[in-house]
Amino acid sequence: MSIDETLALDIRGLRVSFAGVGEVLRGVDLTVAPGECVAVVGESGSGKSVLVRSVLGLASEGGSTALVSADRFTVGRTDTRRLSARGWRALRGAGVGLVLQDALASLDPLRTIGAEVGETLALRKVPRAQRRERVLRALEAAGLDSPELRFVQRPGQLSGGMRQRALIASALVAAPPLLVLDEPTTALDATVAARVLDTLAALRDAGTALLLISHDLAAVAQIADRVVVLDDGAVVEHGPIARVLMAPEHPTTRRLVDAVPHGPKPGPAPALGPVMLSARGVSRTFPTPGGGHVRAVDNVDLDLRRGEVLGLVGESGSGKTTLARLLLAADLPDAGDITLDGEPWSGATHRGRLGRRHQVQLVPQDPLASFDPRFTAGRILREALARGRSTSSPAELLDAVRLPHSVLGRRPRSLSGGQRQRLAIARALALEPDVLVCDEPVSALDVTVQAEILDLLVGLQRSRALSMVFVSHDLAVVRRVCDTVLVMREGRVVERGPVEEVFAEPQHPFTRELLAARRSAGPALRRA
Amino acid sequence: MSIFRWAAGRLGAAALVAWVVTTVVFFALRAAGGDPTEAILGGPGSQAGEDAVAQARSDYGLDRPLIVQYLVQMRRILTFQLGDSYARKQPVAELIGAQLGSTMLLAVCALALAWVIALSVATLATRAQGVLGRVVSGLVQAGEVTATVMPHFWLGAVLILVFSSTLGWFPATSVGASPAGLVLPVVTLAIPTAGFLGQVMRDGLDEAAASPFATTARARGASESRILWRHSLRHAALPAISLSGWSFGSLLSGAVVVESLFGRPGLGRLLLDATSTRDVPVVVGSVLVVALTYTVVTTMADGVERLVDPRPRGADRATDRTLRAEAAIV
Repeated sequence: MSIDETLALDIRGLRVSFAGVGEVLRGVDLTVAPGECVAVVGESGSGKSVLVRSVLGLASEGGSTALVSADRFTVGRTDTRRLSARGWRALRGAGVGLVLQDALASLDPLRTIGAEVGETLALRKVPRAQRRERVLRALEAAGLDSPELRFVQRPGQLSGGMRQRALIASALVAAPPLLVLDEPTTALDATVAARVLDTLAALRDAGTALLLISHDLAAVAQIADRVVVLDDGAVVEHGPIARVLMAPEHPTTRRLVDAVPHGPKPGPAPALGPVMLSARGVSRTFPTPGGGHVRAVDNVDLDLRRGEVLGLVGESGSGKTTLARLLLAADLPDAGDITLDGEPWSGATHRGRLGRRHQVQLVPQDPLASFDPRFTAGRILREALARGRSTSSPAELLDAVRLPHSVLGRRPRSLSGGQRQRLAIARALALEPDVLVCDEPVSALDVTVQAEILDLLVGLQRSRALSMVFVSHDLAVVRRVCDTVLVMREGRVVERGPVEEVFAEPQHPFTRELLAARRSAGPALRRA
Repeated sequence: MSIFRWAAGRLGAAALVAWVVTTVVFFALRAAGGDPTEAILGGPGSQAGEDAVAQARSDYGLDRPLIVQYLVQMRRILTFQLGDSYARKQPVAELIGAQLGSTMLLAVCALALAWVIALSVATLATRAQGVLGRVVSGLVQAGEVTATVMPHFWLGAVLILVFSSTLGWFPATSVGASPAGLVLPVVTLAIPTAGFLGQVMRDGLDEAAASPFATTARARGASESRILWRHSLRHAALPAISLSGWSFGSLLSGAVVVESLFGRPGLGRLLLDATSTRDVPVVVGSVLVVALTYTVVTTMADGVERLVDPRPRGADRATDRTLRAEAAIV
């Protein structure tokens, strides 16, 4: 077969297998043309990550040797099937660039941005002076302000969005015709993600071919031209993004499309009881390095009624997690007062709170870190039950969160992300709490799993008349779960009200910006 | 944190360590039994008459209550006077000064050699790939564990037997300042330290090579050896540097054994002799000097670590606090 020079990436019949694991990619076809953005979507375990690494010739990374075969596998004009290790190294960086998720871990924390971004050039013996010039241009092209300052900074000194831009700059500094982007916006706030996607769209319009990997259809809808749906190592559906989103044909695609949180909360409005948790004029100040102070939470009032789900929305650093910790009494306010069930909560003595701790329980973002890794699921639940007055059994708790009884003997590490989150919810329920504080409970999960957990939480709210504080940076998720919402910015509440009212008529400019970032998630999803 | 607060904190810690160490040593030595007057009058088994003993006791203040003796000792230290040796009738500072250089030379050479061995083994071991890599890594790990647990006195005896008695390459005793005499003592001290530094470094290298930033570097076209030298090594060196400060302490205590094994002069020998004769001023003085040296070395290690890792401190600690608080409520 001849090489099609009009394509930036041309893969036919790609098979990748690992000894002891078997075939992970089973005959994948994939093409990307210059100036085109192709999205590969699929759930965890569908083979997305192996595909990303294979395109860069890094499938064997991580120790186990991969067997790669393909009928055709060209990057630009290079037939990679005959490429030596040295040939692959020459291609990487100059022929194809890679942008990984989590930019904090994906840039060497000990090296300056200048050294990291310039590494591709240094490897190609570009003289130092010229290198600096090109790095600064790449930083600018990736949308970073004051590139000279960024050049000498280290990844830890940049915000999440700036780090992601630095990582993009490091991929495009040698102007490769093809960029591979592995979940490039998953770790970012909605408004920041929208701006990063704008930058990527500009690169695409300038002629760079983009291969975008994601589990989130809403995120790819904004810039992808075509989408390829991967399931168990094979392509199950592909086509123009609008068609796939509007009329998905394969069950896996339909599941992915349905799982994207959209639309208002289903079901009737809850019957609200008396006020359970109430904050008046609550503030919390932290010292900053260098002697200053930052007001993480600034004069916040809130009321949470029985049976109500209250959303706390804002970007990183807006104070929503600090406020959640104050409501849990994991931390105490400098000013203001929090009451639980009409009695002092933040103002009570440590001993006074101890007897009522069970009333407010936490569902953390990363449940794995909150379990003792040596405990089985059964022991985790028994320990929690022993602390409360509940008469239910571990098996009943598992039923409540729809986990099979077979997980009782298993340890957290052997459970999937969704199962761990269910276990964390079951542990919180063991104490029969009145209030659940959920801190980004689904942000680390796949879209389909996320939808299941959200349904579970709403179900529990209804069946047990639970109150919930739901912390999230994702507006679509908040709309799906919450009855009322507080929008936070720089520690202050800038907008509050019933969720649907805030969505229909946002008053504050910041709320409007947040909503716009989410609305740009493609015309197909807006219909819902 | 400003450099001044850091320095003040270090100084405070050094003073605290010095006080605790001298106090513990002072009382432990007295609790161990034996009579310091014997040291004054010519060592254990002295034939001095009762009058002479009583005279010596009152001359050196040994007839006063123990707590008074302790306070006298502390006052001397605070005024930077270490007093005179009971046995040798020489100022303690002079005795220590004569021996300190020899011990420091031994310990510093051993630490340097341990770093060279650990670095070479760790970098070579990570370069082997595939099945060979697994075999090499297994062998290296076994070697490191064995090296780490080897007692100095046994290792030294074996080295003397092989390289001195049988092969005759190096002398078994250090005469004067000959470099050849330094070889076997340094190797004896260095091997266990190299074993555990090597383990720490190899773990660090493996972890860094598996991290996303290494993947990013590979995606830029970097070779494995470039990733090793430009990325992984700094990450692997950090824990090894902070442990080096700590391991210097164990090198100094190892020097006690090695110096008597090889008949080398040094602080270790001095301390050993002084302890067996209950020569209190010498023991307290030497231990004080060792403790202060240890504090200086750990401070230096901390400084080097800050040079290698220029990230600002504090952020991690804040995260730690948050995590601990979270763990406490769950």
